[in-house]
Amino acid sequence: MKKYIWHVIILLVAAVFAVFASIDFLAMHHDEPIADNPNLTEIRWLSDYSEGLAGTDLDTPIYVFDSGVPGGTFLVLGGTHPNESAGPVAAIALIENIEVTEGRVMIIPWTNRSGFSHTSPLDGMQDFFSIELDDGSTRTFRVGNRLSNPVDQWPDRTYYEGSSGRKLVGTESAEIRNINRMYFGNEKGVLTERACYGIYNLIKTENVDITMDMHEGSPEFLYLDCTMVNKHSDNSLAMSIASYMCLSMEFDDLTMRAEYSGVNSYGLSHRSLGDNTESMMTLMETYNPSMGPLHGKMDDDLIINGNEPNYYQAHLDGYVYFDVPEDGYPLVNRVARHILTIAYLAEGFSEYVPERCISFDTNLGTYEDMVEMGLGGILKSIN
Amino acid sequence: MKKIALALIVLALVCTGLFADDYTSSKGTNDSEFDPNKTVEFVQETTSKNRIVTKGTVDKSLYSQPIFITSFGQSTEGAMLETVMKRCKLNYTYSPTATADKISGVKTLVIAVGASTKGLGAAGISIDDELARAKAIMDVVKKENITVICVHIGGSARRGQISDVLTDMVLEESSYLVLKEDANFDYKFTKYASEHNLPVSLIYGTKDCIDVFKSLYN
Repeated sequence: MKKYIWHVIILLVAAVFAVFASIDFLAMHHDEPIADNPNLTEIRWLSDYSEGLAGTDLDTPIYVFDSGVPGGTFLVLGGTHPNESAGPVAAIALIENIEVTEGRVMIIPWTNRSGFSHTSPLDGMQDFFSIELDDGSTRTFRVGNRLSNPVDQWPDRTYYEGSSGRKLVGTESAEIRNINRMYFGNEKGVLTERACYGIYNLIKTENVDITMDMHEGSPEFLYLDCTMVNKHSDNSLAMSIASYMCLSMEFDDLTMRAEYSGVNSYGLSHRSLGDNTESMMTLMETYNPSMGPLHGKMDDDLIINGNEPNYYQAHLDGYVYFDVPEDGYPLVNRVARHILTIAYLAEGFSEYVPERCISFDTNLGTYEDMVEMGLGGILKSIN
Repeated sequence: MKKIALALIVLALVCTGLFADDYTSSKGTNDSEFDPNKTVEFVQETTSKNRIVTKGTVDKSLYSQPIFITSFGQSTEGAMLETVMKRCKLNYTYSPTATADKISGVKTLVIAVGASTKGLGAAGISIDDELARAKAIMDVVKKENITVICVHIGGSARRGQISDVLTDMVLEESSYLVLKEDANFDYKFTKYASEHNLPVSLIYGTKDCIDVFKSLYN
């Protein structure tokens, strides 16, 4: 027996490590709690629109706010890429505060729910960040990964052609787990594709008029503070509505560009859902310094306050396109920008298509109001 | 033998340097007087406090409704201009890809100039087709003496070669020029306006277009 004692000790130590690792791993499988909003009509699931998702980590809740007054439908997608934190936080802030008075608003806070269950440790990404609320309580959010968890979908194929015709090969082969490369999806395809099909089928089934897919990008990216818009070949209405939004933002002293979807952006929501459904597809990006390769120490401060001196220096040296603010670009500003973009798009849509009016109050006021309140005031206490 | 090889290598390097020099200068301009160190100092006249600067006198009697808006270059500024008209509550028709026959009979034509490869791609129009459409429209403008307002609100980002070709076509027939001032970094627009006695309104931001058109149409 004595000769086995060391074997047993090593096994026990390994088991202790395994238990802690498992707790850490499983912690990311728990969705963030969302505070009650009396205006919420119902919660549906994406598997209602794509059967193959039922019971998987890619099935995700859809928060429905139906005014009961006839009108159009606005679909808001947060967390397509879970590491682009402003999207899911803005979606959750809307869910907790919105009051719809005409038409419907449907909000998905964790579009790639599987992506929230893991992270990118080799990129120095952390698992969670926490926000202290005004009442002293804390809300914790997952950072996640832009791709579905390989535990849910593996292996990545060396060659795959999605429904849009996008060929995933070589360095892009891992994008088979990226929701925003696999639209318009396939009911019987790989799991990520089935989630894409769920969104596609939701838009078709519910006659969604307008969709916003919320994203963030590193400062090297060209299209920050920019909304991509799909143009149906037979009309220019979508760009007129987006222009209405941009002009409204300018009245709030916020710069916003609108650009047409790239003709070759196959598989991306604004291109492939726009081409294959009647919904006006939009995708907006804000600047997130924690996403770029030049970021320094990864911590809550970087994610929440968005202040990365390396990027400010890179901007001064002319190496990045984005006009990086010296004092950072805090998460609350990015969340406010997303929420305001959605509000102005709905306003513009209702102006141009009054018979499908979508009207709501975010109950969060103006951009300035939201920045002043901070995330501690925008988000509600779970207690 | 080694010395000859070394001499050839040195010669090759010198030649490379010479060709590289030639290549660099040929990339810039054909103008023999071009001096890369000589830059035009740009002093912006509009500010966040003084948002609109108008030079020259605008004859408001020239401009009537309904207004026809089109785009030269298929940039997003066409749609932005349409939104401006909507906010001004003006009577307008917006057709970014309007053909020359649609322009015939129009009283006031507002053209949003600025080329966008994304916009052209989305509209399924080649650059050559867009240039041909623009030329056909300007032919009708000349023939029917249509009043034209040239609007350039894309800023410096819409000052590429194609944008400038389209702008030049419109400027020739314009009676009024409205532009976001950062597009005037080389004074192209104000210089042309001054030489041709053309009124020009420099604006600080796109939203200032609203005040310009509200003022134009009272």
